[in-house]
Amino acid sequence: MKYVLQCEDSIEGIFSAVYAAWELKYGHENTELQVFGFKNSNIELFCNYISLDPDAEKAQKVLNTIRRICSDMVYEALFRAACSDAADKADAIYRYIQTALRMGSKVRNHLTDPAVVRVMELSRAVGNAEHHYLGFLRFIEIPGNILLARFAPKPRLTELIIPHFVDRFPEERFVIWDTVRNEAGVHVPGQTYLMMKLTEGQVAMLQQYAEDNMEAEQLWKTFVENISIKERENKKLQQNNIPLHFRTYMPEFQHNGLPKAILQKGEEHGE
Amino acid sequence: MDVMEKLQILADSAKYDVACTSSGSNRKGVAGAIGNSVAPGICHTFSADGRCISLLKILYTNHCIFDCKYCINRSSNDVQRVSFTPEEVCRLTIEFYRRNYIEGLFLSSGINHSPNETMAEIVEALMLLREKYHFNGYIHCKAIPGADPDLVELAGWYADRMSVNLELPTTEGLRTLAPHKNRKNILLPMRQIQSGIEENMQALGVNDSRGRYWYTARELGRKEENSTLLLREKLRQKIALQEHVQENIISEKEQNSKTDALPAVLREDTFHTGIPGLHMQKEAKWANQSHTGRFVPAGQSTQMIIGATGESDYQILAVSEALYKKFDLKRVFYSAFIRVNEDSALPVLPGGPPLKREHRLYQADWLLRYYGFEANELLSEQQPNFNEFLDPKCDWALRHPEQFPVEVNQADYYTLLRVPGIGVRSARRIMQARKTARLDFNDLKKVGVVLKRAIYFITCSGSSYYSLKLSEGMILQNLLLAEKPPKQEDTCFQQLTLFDGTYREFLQECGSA
Ligand code: SF4
Repeated sequence: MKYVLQCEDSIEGIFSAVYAAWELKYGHENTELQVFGFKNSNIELFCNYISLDPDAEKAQKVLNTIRRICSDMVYEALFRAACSDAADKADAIYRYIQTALRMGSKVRNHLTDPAVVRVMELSRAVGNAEHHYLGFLRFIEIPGNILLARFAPKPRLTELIIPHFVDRFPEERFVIWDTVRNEAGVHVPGQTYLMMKLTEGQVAMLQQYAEDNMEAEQLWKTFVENISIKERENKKLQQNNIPLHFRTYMPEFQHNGLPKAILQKGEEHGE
Repeated sequence: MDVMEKLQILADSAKYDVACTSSGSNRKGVAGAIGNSVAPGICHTFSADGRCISLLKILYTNHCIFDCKYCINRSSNDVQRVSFTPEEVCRLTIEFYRRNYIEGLFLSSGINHSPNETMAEIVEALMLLREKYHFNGYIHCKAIPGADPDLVELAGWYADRMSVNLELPTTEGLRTLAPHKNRKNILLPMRQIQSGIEENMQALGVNDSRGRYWYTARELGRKEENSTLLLREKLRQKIALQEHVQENIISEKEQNSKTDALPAVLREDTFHTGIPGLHMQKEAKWANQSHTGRFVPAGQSTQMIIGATGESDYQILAVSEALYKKFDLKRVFYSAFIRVNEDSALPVLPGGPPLKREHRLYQADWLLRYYGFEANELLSEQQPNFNEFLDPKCDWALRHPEQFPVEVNQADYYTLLRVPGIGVRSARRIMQARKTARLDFNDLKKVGVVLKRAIYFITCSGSSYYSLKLSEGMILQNLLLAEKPPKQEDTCFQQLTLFDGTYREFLQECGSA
């Protein structure tokens, strides 16, 4: 009999499910982990589905164990993999941890093990997106001298990127808003940051700010236009380097006068 | 004229400078300031030509007394001339930075009135940005050839990276196309910056401003140039002397009372730039107080124009190699010649800017810095130019069948790197994976080796992929089939980032994605 443990799509959800997998003792070969909310998890007939609630304490135990037995690098790789948007992430993490418990920090070298390769792939993909958004994230200044960044990342990224901005803008009040998951990271001067799930009211409030209250955006567009060399124009290379899905909130890719949605479509077809 | 118009003109005329990385400096943020710096560099957007934008790259002014034939701002051109003020430069930088448009500022300039005056204005802008606006992000600025060494030095305490453009690979080329410039004026500030960096690193006991070339040469056990060793020895003596003097220094109080009596211009902490009304601090406060006092921590770079004069690829690459060896440059950038002026001294290139050639030079440059190749292994008097259809490494491998096959389970790192289809990243992963398992062809795929290139040159545990030994001609044919037409090089992709994706690996590896 096969057992499918279903868990919430969060760090806590995934790692506490790993804990449960050991606790329930159905045997690793009979157990599979799945996160809720991913379409491509087919329902199988001869299978027991067990849904689990996230449990911060259990998750912490697993993470502590990994830290102790392996290295910080392994820990970070698993953390990033858990932020991924891939459907199989929970199970890959589960299998990786089985190998990690056997091999310790050497697990990273074990590139002939499929779970190790998969977690590495996931973590690298998240790491790449993270690195991209360090550059592609855009803030607008809204009343009250507050900086607001909106972004729609595929993986869950806010908590991974916000430390960089806290370090960079120690004197700024800012909000980084993940418009897909409606969660936000908030920073005020002199403190670290706070992660929060936004209420409908808060989302509605933030939604009214779509434009910068200064001419900075216009200046920026002028700059980006003029810094390009006409004789070398290469929109394809540009698109390889910055795929369309990153561009939604980047002022240099918005054209005045037309609603964004239409423009983006136009761009896609026009190129 | 408003800032918008100035920006339009002064960004437009800065665009031919191809260096735009923000890499090489690691600096944490500080309370009370704005900004930090991340060593791998960050791209903030890409312009329509596909190049990365990470810095606000502008000229301070496009006024110029020089008449370089290839340049849009040359004195004989009739173009609209404008200058920023230091305040304008600062406000633009800060407002862009706060919105996360940029990593920092790249300030270059035409030469207004004199090299000294121009350099002084650049320094003034940087000083203001660091000390009044408390900007702690990345700054790249030009050293103006012919400017006073004191001014160049001052700039170096504010900037992360500095560059002096070599412009053309030979003295001859410089004479015909840039009559007001000469080798000496270009190499002098370059040498000055190098020795400043060296001194600063020695004083702090660090090595982190060195170029990749230096590390690779060291790993391969190569000897350093005599001139470099000499320079280092001199600096060692100088530092020892300074320490000696400091120990025996008269009491601070006495010294202060002495300097107070002097007129401001002659005081030790200010000096006269030769421009009426402009006195500057001799010491950069910013570098001294808020940081560990770093001088050009991200190292220096330069740029050469490719195809404006008749040099071969071999000559160009040999110049780059010499610059890496003797000046410890971080990067040499190559810029395909674009004919912006009607001038009989400039060539008309039928295919437009020689982008393919530029691309091959970037590939070869990687081979020098990361792979441990030497210029004369890749090219020679007999074969002075790169093969248009084959990347430099494949080309080299085909001419050296005696070096192959390489056994992937045994070869050392630099031998692996010489195999076509294996790049920096996959070589590292092979080394890593070998610790726990013997690798077969399937595993190689998993670690990111481009098998369709590599199979002709490797064995796994003694066995090769093909049971027949293929002739060189056959291999060439297969490789050409595998190589898609080269795409335009992203001339300023950031140096190996933390998560350098397969894309960058590919660029480094065989170049065509
Ligand atoms: S010095 Fe030469 S290259 Fe520089 S702006 Fe003047 S004319 Fe152009």
